[in-house]
Amino acid sequence: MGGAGMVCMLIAGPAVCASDSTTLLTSLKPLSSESGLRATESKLIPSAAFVEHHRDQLGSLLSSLDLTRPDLSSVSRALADGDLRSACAALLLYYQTRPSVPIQAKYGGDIIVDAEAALLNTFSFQGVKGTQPTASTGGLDWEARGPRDDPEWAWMLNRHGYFSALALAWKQTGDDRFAAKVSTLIIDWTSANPYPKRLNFSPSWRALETARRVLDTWPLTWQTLQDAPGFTPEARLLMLCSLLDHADLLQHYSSFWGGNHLLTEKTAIAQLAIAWPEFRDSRAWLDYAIDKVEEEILEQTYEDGAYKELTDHYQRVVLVNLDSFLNLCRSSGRDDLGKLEARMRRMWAYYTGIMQPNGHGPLTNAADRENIAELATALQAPEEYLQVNRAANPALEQPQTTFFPYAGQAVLRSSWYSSAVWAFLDAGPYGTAHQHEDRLHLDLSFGQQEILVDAGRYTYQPGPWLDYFKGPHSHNLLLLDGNCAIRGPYSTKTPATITTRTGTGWTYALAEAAFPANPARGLGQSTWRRGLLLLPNESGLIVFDEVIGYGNRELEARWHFAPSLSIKRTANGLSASANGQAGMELLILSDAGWSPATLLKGQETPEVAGWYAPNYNIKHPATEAHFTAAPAGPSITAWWFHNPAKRSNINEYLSSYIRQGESLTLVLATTRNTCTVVLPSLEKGPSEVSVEIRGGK
Amino acid sequence: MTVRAILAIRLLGLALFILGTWLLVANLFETIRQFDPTYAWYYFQNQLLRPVLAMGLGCILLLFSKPLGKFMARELEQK
Repeated sequence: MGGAGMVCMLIAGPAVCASDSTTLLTSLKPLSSESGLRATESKLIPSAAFVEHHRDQLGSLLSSLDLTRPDLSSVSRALADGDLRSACAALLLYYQTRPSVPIQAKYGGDIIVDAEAALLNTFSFQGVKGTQPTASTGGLDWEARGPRDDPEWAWMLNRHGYFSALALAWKQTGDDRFAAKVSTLIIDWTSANPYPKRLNFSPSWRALETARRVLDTWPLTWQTLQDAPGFTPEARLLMLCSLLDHADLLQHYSSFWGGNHLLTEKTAIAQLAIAWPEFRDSRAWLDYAIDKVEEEILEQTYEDGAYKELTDHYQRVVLVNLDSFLNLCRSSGRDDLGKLEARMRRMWAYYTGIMQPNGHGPLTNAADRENIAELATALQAPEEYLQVNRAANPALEQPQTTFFPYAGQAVLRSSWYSSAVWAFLDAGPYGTAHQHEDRLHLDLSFGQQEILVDAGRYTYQPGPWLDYFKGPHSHNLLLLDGNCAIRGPYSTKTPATITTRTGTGWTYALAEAAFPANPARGLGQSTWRRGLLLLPNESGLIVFDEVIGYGNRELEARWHFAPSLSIKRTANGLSASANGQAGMELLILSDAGWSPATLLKGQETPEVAGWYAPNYNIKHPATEAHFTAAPAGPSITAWWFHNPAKRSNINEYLSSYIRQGESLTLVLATTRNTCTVVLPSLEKGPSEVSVEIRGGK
Repeated sequence: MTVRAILAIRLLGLALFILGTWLLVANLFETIRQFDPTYAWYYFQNQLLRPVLAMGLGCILLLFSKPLGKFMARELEQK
C-alpha cells in the first residue's frame, strides 16, 4: 500500500480507502474530535498544539489557496466547517496524492555521503567542510560563518542544498532518519528565522538565498519526501506557510539593483508558481515572473550574448537559470517566450564561442573553471553551438577571430579541432559586477593544454588574497610604473573597437588601452597596443605589445602559467613542460631590454604571487613569470609563444627582430622551419606571414 | 579689493606659467633623445600637452587678470 493509501486508512478506515480523496475528506469531519484523532493517529494530521500555536499562519496559508479548484474541495469543506486541523490534513493529503509538477532542481554531489554528513550537521560548501555550531535554542546557528569566517558559508547554509541530498538519500535508501532530519531542520529554520517582511541582508532572508531555496531545493525536497513518514505534517505545513513569505519577498524585496541576483530571484517566482499552482496568486506570479525576467535578461545581456558582468561563471549561472525558466514556462503551456528564446541563443553563441579546445571557459572576472562543452550538451544547447558539430563544419576549419563587440572580447582559434591553438583577448568593459583589473588580459591554450591562464577568483573576503586575485597582478598584463591599464566602463551601449585581420593560415586581433597619466610630472596617458597573431599550422601565437611611453618608466610584464606546467628560464625566454612533455617555448624579441624572468610560485610574502584558483576557496601554486624593462621611448615587444607539439624547437640564434619606427620584421627559426612575420604597424596588422620548411618535411 | 583680486590672479597665473615651463623643460630634457617622428603626436600628448596647457592657462590668467579681478571683486566693491 502506498503512503496515500496508508494515510487514507489511518484517517478514515479501510472502507473509505477504495474511494477517491473527495470521499475521504468527507470523512474528515469527525476528526475534529480529539477521540477521533487519537483513534486514527494519521501521519498527515498535525498535532492540535501545533495547529493552535500556528493558527494565524495556517489560516493565512489556507486562505491564500485557490479553494475554487475542484481538487481542493475537501479543504474548502473542512474550512467551511471551521475545522482548521482537518483542513490542514486534507491539504497535506492532497499534496501527497497530486500528480508531480515540473521542477528543475538536481543534486550534483554524492547524495549518501552528503546526507550522512548532514545528519551530523556537517556540510561542505564551495570546497570547505565544517560542522555548524548549535544555537542556545538547541537548533543550528543559522548565521555562523563556517571554518573560514566567510559570509558565503552562511549564505550557502541558508540555501538548504543539503535538503536535496537528504531527500534523495531517503528515496534511495528508505532510511527515515534522512526525512526526519529535513523535518527537524525546517522546523528549526522557520522558528529561528521569522520572515522580516523588508529588504534585508541576513543569511536566511537575503533575496538570493530565498530564491535559491525555491529554485534548487524546496520543490525537490517537497516532491521527493511526500511519502516519507519522517517528513512530519508540522514540517510540511511550516514549509507551505513559508512559501508565501518567499513569494512576498521575491516580489517586493528583491535585489532592486539588478544583476544576476535579480534574475535568479524572478526565475524563482516562476518555479514557485509552477511547483505550487494551488495558490490563488500562482498565475499572477508566473505572469509577473515572465515580464520581469524578459525585461531583466534584455537589460542585463548584450546583443552579442554576453552577460554584462562579463564573467564566465555568472554567464553560466544566468544561462542555466534562463534555460530552467524557459523549460518551466513551456511546461506550463506558455508560448509567449520568443524574445527570451532569441536572446538565449545569442547567449549560447557567446558562451560556446569563448570556449577553449578542452571545453573550459576563460576565468574572466570572478569565475570558476567550468566545463562549457559539458553544460552545452547537458542543457541541449542549439546544435550548431556544440563543439563536435563545429569541428565537423568545413567553414570553421580555418583560423578565425571571433569578436564579441559589446563584451569587447576576441577569440582567436586555429580551428574547432581539439588540437587547436586558442587565444582570448579581453579589451572590453570592466563589467557590472564581480570585476577584475584585467584590461588587455589574454589566455592561451595549445590544444588540450592550457598555457596562459587567468588566476581565477578564490575569495570575496577582503585582504591580500582578494587583492591579488582581483587585481592586475594575477592577470597576463603589462604594468607601467606599477599601474595597470585604465579600466573600461562598467558597461557599454556602443560596440568596442578591436582591429581584426585574417590571412592564409593566420588570424590577427589588436586592441588598445592606456596607462594612467602622471599629473605631478606633467605626463599624459601612455598608449598600449596589444596585438595577437595566431600563426599557421597551429605553430603558436605571437603577442605584440607596443607601449608608447617616455622617460624613466618601468615596464613590467606578468605571465601566469597553468598549474600543470613546469616552467624553466631559457637564454631569451622560457620553456614549459607538462608531465615531461614540452608544452610551450617562449622567445622574447624586443628592443625594450627585458630582464631575465623572475619565477614565482606559491608565494605568500612579501606579496602574494604565483597562484591559480580553479574554484572559489580552492587555490594551487602556479608559476608566474615577471619580466621588467626600462625602455628608452616607445617599444614593441614580440612574445613568441611557440607550440613544440609541432615537433620543432626554437633556434633563437637564427631568429631576428628588426624594427623601424612602427614597422616590425620578425624571423623565428625552429629546427624544422622558418617563420617570417612583417608588420607595417600593429594597427595595420601583418602584411606577410610565411612559414618556410627547412631541410625538407 | 579689486587690486588684491588682480594680484591674486596674477600670482596664480605666474605660478602656473612657471610650473608649466618647468615641467616642459624637464620633460624635454629627459626625453628629447627618445623622440621618434613616427610617434610625434604621442610624444606631444604624453610629454608636452599638460605643461603647455598649464603655461597657456597661466598666460591667460596673466593677460586677463584686470577684467577677471574686477569681475570677481564687483560685489565686494559695491558693498
